[in-house]
Amino acid sequence: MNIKYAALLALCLLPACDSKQGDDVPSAQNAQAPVDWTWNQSNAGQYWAAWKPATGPVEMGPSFAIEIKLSTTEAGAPLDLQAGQIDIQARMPEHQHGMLQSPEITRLSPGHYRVDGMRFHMLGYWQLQLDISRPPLTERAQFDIQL
Amino acid sequence: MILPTKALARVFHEDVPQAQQPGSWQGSVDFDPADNAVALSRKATSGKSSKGARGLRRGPLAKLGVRVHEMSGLGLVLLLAISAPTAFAQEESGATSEHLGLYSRTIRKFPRPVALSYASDGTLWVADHSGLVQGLDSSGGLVTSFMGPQGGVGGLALAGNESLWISVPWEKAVGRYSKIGMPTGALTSPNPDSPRGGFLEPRGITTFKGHVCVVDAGWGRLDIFKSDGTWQKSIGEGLLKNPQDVCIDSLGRYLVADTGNSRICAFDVEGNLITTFGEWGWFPGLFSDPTAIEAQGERFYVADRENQRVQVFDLQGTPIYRIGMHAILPREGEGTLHYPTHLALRRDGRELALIEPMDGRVQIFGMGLGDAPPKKINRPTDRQPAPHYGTHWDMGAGYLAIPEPETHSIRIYDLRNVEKPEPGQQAGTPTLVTEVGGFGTRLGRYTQPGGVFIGGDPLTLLVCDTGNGRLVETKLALSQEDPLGFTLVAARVQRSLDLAALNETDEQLQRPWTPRPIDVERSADGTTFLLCDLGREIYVLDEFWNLDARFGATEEHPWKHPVAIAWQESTGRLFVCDEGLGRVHVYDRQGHWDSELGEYFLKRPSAISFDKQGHILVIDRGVSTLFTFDDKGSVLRQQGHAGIDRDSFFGPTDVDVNEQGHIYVLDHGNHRGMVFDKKGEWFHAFGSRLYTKPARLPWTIEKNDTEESE
Repeated sequence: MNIKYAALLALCLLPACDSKQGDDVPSAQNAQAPVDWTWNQSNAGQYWAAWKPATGPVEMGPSFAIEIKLSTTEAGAPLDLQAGQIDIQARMPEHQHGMLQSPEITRLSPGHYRVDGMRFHMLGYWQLQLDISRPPLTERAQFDIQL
Repeated sequence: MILPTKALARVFHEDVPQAQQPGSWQGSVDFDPADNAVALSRKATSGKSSKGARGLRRGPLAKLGVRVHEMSGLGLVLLLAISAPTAFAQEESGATSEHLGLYSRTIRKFPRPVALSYASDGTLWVADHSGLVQGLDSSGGLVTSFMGPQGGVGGLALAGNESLWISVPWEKAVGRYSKIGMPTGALTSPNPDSPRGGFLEPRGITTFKGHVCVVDAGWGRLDIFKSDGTWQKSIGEGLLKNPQDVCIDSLGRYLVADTGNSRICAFDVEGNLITTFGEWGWFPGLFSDPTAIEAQGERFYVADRENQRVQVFDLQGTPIYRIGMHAILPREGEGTLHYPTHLALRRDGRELALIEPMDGRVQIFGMGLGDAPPKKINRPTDRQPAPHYGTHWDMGAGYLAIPEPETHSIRIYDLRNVEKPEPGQQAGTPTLVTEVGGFGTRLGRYTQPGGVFIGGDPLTLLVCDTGNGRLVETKLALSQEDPLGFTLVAARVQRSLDLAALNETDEQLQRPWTPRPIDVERSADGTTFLLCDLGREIYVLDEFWNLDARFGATEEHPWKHPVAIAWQESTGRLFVCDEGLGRVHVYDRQGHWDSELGEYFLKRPSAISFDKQGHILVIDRGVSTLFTFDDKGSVLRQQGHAGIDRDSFFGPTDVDVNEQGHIYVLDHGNHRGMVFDKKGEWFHAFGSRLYTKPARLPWTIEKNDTEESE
């Protein structure tokens, strides 16, 4: 009989334990990543870029996908480039490293792209860096992400 | 324990060196059972101990005068058995057989040696940057010498015992000289019917069975000729990047030091790429600036310049061992290395000569016991490696930007501690506030950072990424109003200009070669001036980096080896340092020739700056002197000579004047910055403590070791 009560008590306490652990693990609510398009002018001012998560809020650990848009002005005419003209990376400048995997870019429509294979393996400050090549110039747009 | 008679005779016979061939290495092993160590020491055949033997252990056998000279492997094993504790240490050091790579001696007879080769009679031929070629016997004695090309030697190889091939990148030519210096021929133009014909930047040479092979760093290929100079074929185009040297191994493969790609490429006789060895890095088998290669028997040897070592490989490319360690003390040598750039093997494979141009010397390594260099280096433990500065820097807005060669990053220093010390405090050292980049090909990273510019509002950093062939602009979120501190989030890369793409897309250019950016300046109106060395041209870029104009050498006003530019805002003139011709060319903003400077004074001008009085300061690395000219070109002042004290420089490469009028000299060979006041009086040095100490404490100055010779 005592054993049955103990088992029942353990079952009741289990969700509470899980909940406590869950507070330490970053969740979708903890990540201050945007859920809609976020626009930034490129660092040298020649184009605009935007990004948003494609598969739900960004969090530490799992691979995720994002979408990006490029335009000549903010939310203006699309800047239509081949996927090979775009290099995307995310770096943690304070730790002097980037991601542990290489993302892949797919062109969805003019100026609109999907990036698969993103993964943030650490909590902290990340920079999402988009390098747009229009030979002979390459120009960077970047976004700050605090996980 | 009974030792073989032969071994005993050697063990107890101190005069064995006289039986040695001059210059060969004599291994000696001193035992110290007290600390279970075996110290390998070296002794030159002249009979006097080299300084490298300072670390001799004073064990019981050593006190008895026990030394092992030319000991056979069996003898060594038996002797080791006398002292069991030492056996482990010997095994740990991997010492099992005779190998090439133990220090023998140093030859200091050259201002700046750049290429060398052994003749089959054992004569070591060494070419200096100036064009002086010397033949040395096995003890380093001068056999003969002559003035060959007019400076700028790139490579050297023997054609039998009677003549030498010498490549001269400045002249875009490879010539043949007799042993007394008579020009006796030249290699014909390679690829004559191609738009990429002729030499662009010929470097390393090797000769093999009636053939001459030359790597061309500019074209990125290997040109092969018959011994009469007739071109046969070119290989490796599109695969090689800035190759510096070539050799042929015992399998008949061409091994090319593909320096720009940090690897060794092996080609078959048809020119097909068989395999590559290595990539960029520090670990065994990786390279950072592999600049020379030689092969002998079952091994090949690579001068791994920025890793401060020679790596030895088997023919499968497996690293076997390294030769040398990074020199830390000023002018330290005797087995420790400082930017080894070129190497040569004696024909019997029992001696290796290694050039270190920055220290003006050749180190010779011979045969010895063991498969690894001595693990115990006679060096005080409290001395730390020196920070290295690159050959360029720039100052602006209270900051100093310096490329750091090993990490391939740009270090940004705040100068407040130097210029505005706290009341009652002496000038301090520049404060590192951020670093930008690192090795890599992605935007924001550099493979070979060269000239830099820092200044403007907002604070802007321009870097010539010579290795990646591009110009990179980065904004720096730094302020002189903020408290001093280090941050890694100050840099924001803006854009880059790819010179290869510019060359392809701009109708003004269309050069058959890829322009290589080496220095950059920016005027107050945002115009960017970019010096590219292969075409000896300056590109003028507008604020959007469109090519506005270009200008360069003409028949009337030729350039030979431009290395740096400086923009004088007050007069609207651009100054071009020409190390090859030993003078400074002056142009207006549109590229019209204005004047020349220093024709009769300068030897290798490497950088220019201007003070508020309009005086022109030129640093000359050839004579380690800072020249000050008035605006008419007359010399007002000369200061400095080769050395390490506060009145000296050692191959200085840059100069700048800040808002306070202080003169900053990049004393490259001494790994330090020297600061002078408006009157030219020394007041501060920063950088490696070991190199700045002689400047800070002039009474501790030691004899200028550049004049030493052995």
